[in-house]
Amino acid sequence: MTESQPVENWILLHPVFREMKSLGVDDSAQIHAAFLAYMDLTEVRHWKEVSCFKCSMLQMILLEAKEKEEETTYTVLPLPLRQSITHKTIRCVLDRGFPMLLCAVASDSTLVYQKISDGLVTPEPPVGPFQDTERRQHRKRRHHPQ
Amino acid sequence: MSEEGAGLREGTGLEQGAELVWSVQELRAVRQSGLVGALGGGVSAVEEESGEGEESGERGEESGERGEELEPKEEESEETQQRRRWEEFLGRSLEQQQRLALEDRKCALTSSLSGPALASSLSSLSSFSLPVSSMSVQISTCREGLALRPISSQQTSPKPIGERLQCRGRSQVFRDLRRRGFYLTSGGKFGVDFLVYPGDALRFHAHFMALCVSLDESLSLEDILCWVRLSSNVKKTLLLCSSTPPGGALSVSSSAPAGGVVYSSLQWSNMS
Repeated sequence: MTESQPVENWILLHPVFREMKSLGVDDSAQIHAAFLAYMDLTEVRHWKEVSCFKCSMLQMILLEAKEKEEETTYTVLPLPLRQSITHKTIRCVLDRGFPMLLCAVASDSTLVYQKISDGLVTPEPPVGPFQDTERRQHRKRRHHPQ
Repeated sequence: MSEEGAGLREGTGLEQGAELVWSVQELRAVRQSGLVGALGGGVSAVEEESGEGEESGERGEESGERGEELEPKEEESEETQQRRRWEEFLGRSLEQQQRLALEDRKCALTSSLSGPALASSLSSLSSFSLPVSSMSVQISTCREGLALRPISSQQTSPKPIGERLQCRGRSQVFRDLRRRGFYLTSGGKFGVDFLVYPGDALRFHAHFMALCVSLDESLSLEDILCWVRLSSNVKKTLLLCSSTPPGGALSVSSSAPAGGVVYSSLQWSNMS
């Protein structure tokens, strides 16, 4: 009995990828990015309730997922790294009411996630403990002649 | 800008695209209206030397000395005289900065320590000296005799400077953030438009790096990654700021007021 040959086009045969293809989005690169993000969230990070749907306004595939069962739902926008995005697109995703994860997918399938929220979100403060270091008294400033 | 803009506009002029603040009173008025930041240059301080001799006894002595030296030494060239006056000015500046640094250090110790630790720290300050290498030096950015355009208190153009610089909505973002109580400085050192502080920029770290973009402006994902990574490294949030068009029908977002500003905060997700 011989081992079966690895299927090179396993992504094309995957049921979730086929579901994404059937949603009617023309951008195949964006579909591929969405599928990789889906696999990363489900198989690597084990996020819960991961689903995909088509945003008709943006003509893109978005994902919805939760990191844990009772936590906040995120809307994930997967995009190839070489693509561009507008603030209008971001606002359109945020209008769904959930915080957003922008997932940039590189050509080597590396995924980078950035969290995007509506409004002004104060950053996390620096982590202590802090030491009372002697402050620099003055910095030498040089103003260049115009 | 409405009320704040009026205060800023009076007493400041425009020189080669940059706001010109002429006097300390105007600078104070500008700071009180919330516009902070580093001055980009200054007029030569040579004219101010004549007033310093009246401020203290030490300086009175110096002015006396200067009075004796004012008789031109025929063998000294003008360049030598200027150099000597500059070195004397640096010496007086070092003494003043040393006094201010010592007072600043005492205040810092008093506010953070108490009891025997405070007494011990204060006594160790008797040997405090400000090294010359730490002295602030301002080099004048214009030469004497440069004919500057007269400062006009009336703006010739109806548009704020942000619009004239073709940064659509930038002035609107500035107004809105100021209205919310934030202090703003230039964000040039981070490649953004503004740094947004929760209070006086000299007392707080900035919370946001504000990037003013129009809603339809195409942004490269790679650039966004760079900005967010940078902001994360310096413990700030990247803020995308866009002004919305006036009139309610085309409002892009249900939460965005027409004719207002929408903000989106971008942060590193820590999902490695």
